[in-house]
Amino acid sequence: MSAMEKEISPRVNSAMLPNWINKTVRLTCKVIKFNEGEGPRLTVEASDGGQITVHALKEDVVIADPYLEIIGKVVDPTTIQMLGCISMGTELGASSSSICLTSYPHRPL
Amino acid sequence: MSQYNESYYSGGGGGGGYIAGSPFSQAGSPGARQRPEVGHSLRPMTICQLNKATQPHTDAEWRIDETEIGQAVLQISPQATNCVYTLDDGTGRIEARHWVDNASETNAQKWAGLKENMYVRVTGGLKSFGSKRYINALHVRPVTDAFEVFFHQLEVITVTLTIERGAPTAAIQSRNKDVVMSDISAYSAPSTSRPSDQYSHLPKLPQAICQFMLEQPGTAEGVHVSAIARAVGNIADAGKISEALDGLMDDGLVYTTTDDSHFQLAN
Repeated sequence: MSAMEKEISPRVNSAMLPNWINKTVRLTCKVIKFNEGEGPRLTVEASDGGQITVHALKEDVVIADPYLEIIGKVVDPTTIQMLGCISMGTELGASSSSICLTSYPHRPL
Repeated sequence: MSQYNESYYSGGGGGGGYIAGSPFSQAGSPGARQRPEVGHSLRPMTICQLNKATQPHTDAEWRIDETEIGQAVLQISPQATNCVYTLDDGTGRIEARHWVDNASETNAQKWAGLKENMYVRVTGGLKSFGSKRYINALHVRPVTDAFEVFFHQLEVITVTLTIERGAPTAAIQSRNKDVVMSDISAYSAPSTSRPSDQYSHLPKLPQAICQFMLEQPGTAEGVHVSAIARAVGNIADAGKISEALDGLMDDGLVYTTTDDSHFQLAN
């Protein structure tokens, strides 16, 4: 069971990050800012409105769509180190707060 | 079994081919004989569920049921005879293999558009090879709409709970009748329990009437219509109640006894 737990990456919002420090999570979010600078870095907004800084791995992470699902490791409550990301299209829109299904550790499904 | 279940599955989306008619009520039977029917029941799953699928009571069943999953393709390893995808949906990881035919049309269709780091919907059967389990992927399709991912999560929850606890109306009736639903019971459990379940396909008012009549002591002259009206009067007025009773009589579920005002259930 614990081996399985290492592979899980539950969906979270910004409020849940403190519970998942040093663990891998998925964050469905909207890109607010994209800095090519020392990074590259993204500033994203989670489904509950909280802003999070994402450190991307590679320079060629060029994501055209505004909505992403970022899989990454939580560094601190406002920062995630990206391991991978998946485009979620352009239409998640204003209802994204209602559709972020976050999973609870006591009953991982 | 109940109308709710059938209408859910025949109306469900996600790539057709549901065979209607209580796919889960045959869960108790050994799979081999019933393979054509049980083998086509399609159930949305998460990878975590698949990995946990060796519960003793459902072992055979989970092997046979086809599974439909939405996952992220992490890694593609094309090989000569088959193509192996590593899938991750946040709840676990599993391999999916699909066997590549030599015919080129099949190749083109199956390979089309599948890249790493994308969400796909995988339909296939759960298989194990030694101690390792994998999905025998019959169909892998990229997900075009982001909402599909979330819908799938919700659908998994709904279906899993429906299987555990029965469809919503059946669950409420069972609670009234103190039916003990064991944790590992297959979906067929409600159908073997109480006669009240035979009314669960009725709309709300006739069902409430039958429920009330069931609870009355069984006298020869039955229940007077005014007693029924007092019991169910909060959801319908007298006119609707008598319409409902007429409907029940037409269906053969109740009959009049001493006069037109007394009704009895046909058991």
